[in-house]
Amino acid sequence: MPSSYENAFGDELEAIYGRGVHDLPGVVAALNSSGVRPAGGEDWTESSFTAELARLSGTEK
Amino acid sequence: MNPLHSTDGLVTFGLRDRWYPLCPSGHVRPGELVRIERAGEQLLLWRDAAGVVHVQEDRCPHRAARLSQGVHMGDRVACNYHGVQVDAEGTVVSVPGSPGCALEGRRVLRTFPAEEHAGAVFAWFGLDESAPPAPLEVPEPIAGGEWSQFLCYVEWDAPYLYSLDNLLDPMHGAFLHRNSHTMFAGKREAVFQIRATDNGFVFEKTDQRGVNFDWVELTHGGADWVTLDIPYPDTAGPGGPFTIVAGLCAISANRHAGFFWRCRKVSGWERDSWRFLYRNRLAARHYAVLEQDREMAEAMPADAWDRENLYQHDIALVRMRRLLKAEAAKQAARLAEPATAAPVPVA
Ligand code: FES
Ligand SMILES: [Fe+2]
Repeated sequence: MPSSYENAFGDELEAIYGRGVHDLPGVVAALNSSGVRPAGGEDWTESSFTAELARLSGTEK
Repeated sequence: MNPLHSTDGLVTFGLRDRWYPLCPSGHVRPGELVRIERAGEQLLLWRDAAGVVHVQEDRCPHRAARLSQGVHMGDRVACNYHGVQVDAEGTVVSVPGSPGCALEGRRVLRTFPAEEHAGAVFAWFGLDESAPPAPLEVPEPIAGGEWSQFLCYVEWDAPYLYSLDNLLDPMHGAFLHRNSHTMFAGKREAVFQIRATDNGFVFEKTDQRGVNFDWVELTHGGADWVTLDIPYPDTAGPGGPFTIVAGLCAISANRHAGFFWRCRKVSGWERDSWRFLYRNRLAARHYAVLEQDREMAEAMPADAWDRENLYQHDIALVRMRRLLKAEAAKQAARLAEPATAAPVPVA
């Protein structure tokens, strides 16, 4: 079962994408103006965001 | 008569000289003997100690007991009835009750060439089982590389032909799936055309592309594939439409296995984003759409093909059925030719 954090992250991503924002800087900025934050509460950066996506996607590299 | 020797039987259970997807790779666990029915055959699937999958007839060469009820011995399978042991090539390697008997060393268990690709086990069903298989060519979206994919596997209580009809019928997207996350847009009337390809055809709307389920391609060769794409809404993030690669395999006359690889050509963070959203959101939505198809297919009458009034949207079905029947008739005729080799007597 996805955690509530994963669900909130998914909600926020869908909402941002749904507004047509599909570029990395735009998505990171929009995420920062949402309530979803990394575990430490800091702002998202492009690298923390893409690292988090890689973790959540379970990408087997 | 073996139903696989008649035109109707070959249409019902699937043409020979084909690769068919049998089941997801995960269904064949190490050390286990798995029995499944596919394409009119009763099959035993198992992995050897190296993990290589083998597909054989689930029928002991001694007295036809189910080998799947036997014992997995690493590189061979032992029948539980009288202990006869058969290896991955189908050769009897030991007859414990009668050592040295003529059955030992004979290659008598029907064995089907098998391969694994994109998370599924495939086997070749040759018309002439002593002939080598054609190479298994998988469509680009599931061949790896730039594409990312998830396999959705289903078993439906309907002939595989109804699923094939469904896949070759893009127009149902705008009706049956009109409230889905992907197929809510587009016109409800369309003019279709058929475009021949090297080994199949494309069936497409002439006036709309990239809006709904607007085209489909049948690839008819060493394996039969149906490929199509459907646009995602913005909420699915960057990466363009998703592509479905579908493969079907009869289980019985009224049941079949469906393999739907959902693919997207995405890389980097966009790929990770799609894979996360797929697991977290999209898989369930895709599944709900597929359930609409299942409910429709399973409720179709058994004589659906006997009393139809087809119209212009259905020309791909007509083309596909004609292809299938013609090839089935050819195969049945070849199977009716008298056998040239006499059976080897059993000592
Ligand atoms: S039936 Fe299998 S060993 Fe006799
Ligand atoms: Fe459908």
